[in-house]
This record gives sequence, C-alpha cells and structure tokens, in this order.
Amino acid sequence: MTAHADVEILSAYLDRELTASEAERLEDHLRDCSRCRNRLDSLSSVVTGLHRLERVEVPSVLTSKVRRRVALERQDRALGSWLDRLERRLAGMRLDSATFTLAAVILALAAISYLFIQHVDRAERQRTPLVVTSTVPWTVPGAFERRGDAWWPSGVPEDTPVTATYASDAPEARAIFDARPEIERLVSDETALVVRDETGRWVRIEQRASAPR
Amino acid sequence: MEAIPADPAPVRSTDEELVERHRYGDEEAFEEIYRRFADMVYNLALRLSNDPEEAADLTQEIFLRIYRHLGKFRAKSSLKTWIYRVALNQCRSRLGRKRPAEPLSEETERTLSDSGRGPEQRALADDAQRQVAEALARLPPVFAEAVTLCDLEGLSYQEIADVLKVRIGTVRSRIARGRERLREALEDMEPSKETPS
Repeated sequence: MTAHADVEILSAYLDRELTASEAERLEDHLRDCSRCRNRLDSLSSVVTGLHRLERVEVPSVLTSKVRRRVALERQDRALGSWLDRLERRLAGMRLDSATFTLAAVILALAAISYLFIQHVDRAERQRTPLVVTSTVPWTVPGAFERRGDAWWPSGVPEDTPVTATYASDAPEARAIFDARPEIERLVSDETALVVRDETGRWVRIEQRASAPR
Repeated sequence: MEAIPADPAPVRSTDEELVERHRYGDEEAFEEIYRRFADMVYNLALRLSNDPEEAADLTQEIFLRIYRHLGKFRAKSSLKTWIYRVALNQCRSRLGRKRPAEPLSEETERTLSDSGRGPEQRALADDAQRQVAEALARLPPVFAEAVTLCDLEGLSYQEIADVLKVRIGTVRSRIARGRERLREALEDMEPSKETPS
C-alpha cells in the first residue's frame, strides 16, 4: 500500500470488490490516515447520492409506441419477405430487355386477337340465332329451344297453339325469313320452326324436299 | 370423490427460451422480453441523457433494434448483457451527437421523484437529486456508463466488464474516476455546501 490509498482502491472497497487481503491492508491504513478516511467518506456520499436517484416507471404511452413500431416492423418484414421471393423468382428467369420486349409483343397480340374474336363473334351472333339445346325455357331475346321436332322461341309456353303450317318456300314463310334472315337456317329436314308471323299468329314452317333455299 | 388436481402454475420461460420462441415467430415472446427489460432500458437511457423525452425516443429505438437483431443472439452472453450492450450502443450513437444534457426543470424532476415526504424535505431532496442527475449526464460517456451500471443498475464489476467488453481493471478505473469527477462537479455546483449525503 502506497502512502495514501489510490482512489481506485477506495472506490472498489466501497463496492466490496477488493480481495480479502487488499481490504485488510486498506482497513489497516484507514485506521491511521484521516485523509484517506475523508476521501472514502466523500466517495461514499457520492454513491449515496446516486443511490437516491429514484427508479422511474416506464410511461404507458411509451409502451404503446414501442408496440406500434414493432407491429409496423413486423408488417414491413412480411412485405419484404414476399418481395424478396418475387425478386429471386424473377432473377431466376434471367429476364433481360429482349425478353421483356417479347413478352410485351405477345401480350399485345393476345389483346388484338381477343378484340378481333369479340368483333367476329358479335357479328356472327347478329346473323345466327342463339340456339339453346336445353329443354328448360329461358328468356333470352333471339334464343330458340328445341321442343320435339321443332325450334320454338325460348319462353313461349308449351301449350301455345300453332295456327298454321307452311312450307319453307311458301310466300308466308318467305315473308318471315325476309324480315328475319338469321332464323331460316333453323329449318331443316329434321326440324321445323315455330315463330309469329306478321299478324302475330304462331305458325310452323317446315322444310320441304322440293323447297329451294 | 377423486380430487381434481389444480391447474399447474404457469411456467416462466427463461430468457433463452423467449429468444428461441421469438425466433420461431412467437410474438408474445418479444412482448415478454419487453416487459422484463423495459424498465432497465428506460432508466439507463434516462440517466445517461437526463431527458425523459430523449430517453423515450432512445427506448423505442433500442427495442426496435432488439426486435430486428434478436434472431442473431447466440447466447454467448446472457440476454440481459446483450440488451445492455444494444442500449449503450444506441445511447452513445445518439447522445454523442447532441450537446451536453440540459438540467431538468424543477417540475420535471418533481414528476420523476415523488417520495411522499414533506414539501420542504422533498424540495431539498429534489434539488440534490437534480444536481446528481445533471452531473451524471454531463460525465464523459465512458465514466457515466460505468457509474450508472454500478451504482444505479447494481451490476458487479465482472458483469460490467462483460457488458462493456473490457477488463475488470478498466471497470474499476472508470468507476473510480467517474465518482471522483462527480464529486468534483457536485462540489462546484454547491461550493458553500457539503456534498449531499
């Protein structure tokens, strides 16, 4: 031990961090050295002052903020993980500008084809009546359904009386076909057609072997 | 009639078990970690900054870092030691860029320390505490950290050495010099009075 105790020794003594022999030597010295005793007392006062700093409770609003930030972090992680997987998948495809161009061209062609088919289909539907093979009548303008050996307009009650029958080349039938050319195709050797004539009567038109198209 | 066994008391997970549960996506595990260490982190930040708002911001940042990096914790030290390190790193990073801590207002200090004593005694005690808190926050970080961990957090020299990743001799030196500087600072604040005891 030097003439006076080092502040480290005094400080460690306060914390009981000296070895037994170090503590014993210091205590022997303190018995005879008022200066070191005073220094020890001063240090002890500082430690007491520190011990009196009271512990503060965590504000509840702070806890809420921490929970909120952690929740946001969790969401970011989930999104980031999804984006990482997408990025890896795209990277695996070895995309380059040529591939992107090709993909764009294919998409454009597909769009044009779709629009063209829609246009053709619309035109075709305007010329061709919508034929429903189901026996359950349903109401669709221009739709026909097969009942026995004849096509009937959908929705027409089954017990509707037919007041006349014409051959497909008869003037009455021609008048109907002139007004609605798209339905003439429904008349065949196997099937007749039931429609309203210009007077509102229900008439049946049948294909005749000798009737010209 | 056969006795119905009582429900067993809930088993408290160890810190390491909480880390493992967190790793497997158990959100409640992190919540429990927060409950166990929030007080420790907040008070450490408060004493190093001497600013409740700064301490609140620091606490948020610290726990966010804990959440992000907890999966990498490998139990080479205790979880408590690891959290202290995260907290101190964040405090150094943030407080190092700021000016020395401003003294707390009387009102703030009163809010922080409600001891239930008489008004005059409380005023004297508050004043003394305010001076100590201010002097502590103004110490160089290496001394403030060591003194805080020892005298306020109650860690042993070995535990402090583990947290700071220094030798025990270095811890002893920093604590001693920190207390010495505190003593001088407190004497400067109240030159006509004795050091509070």
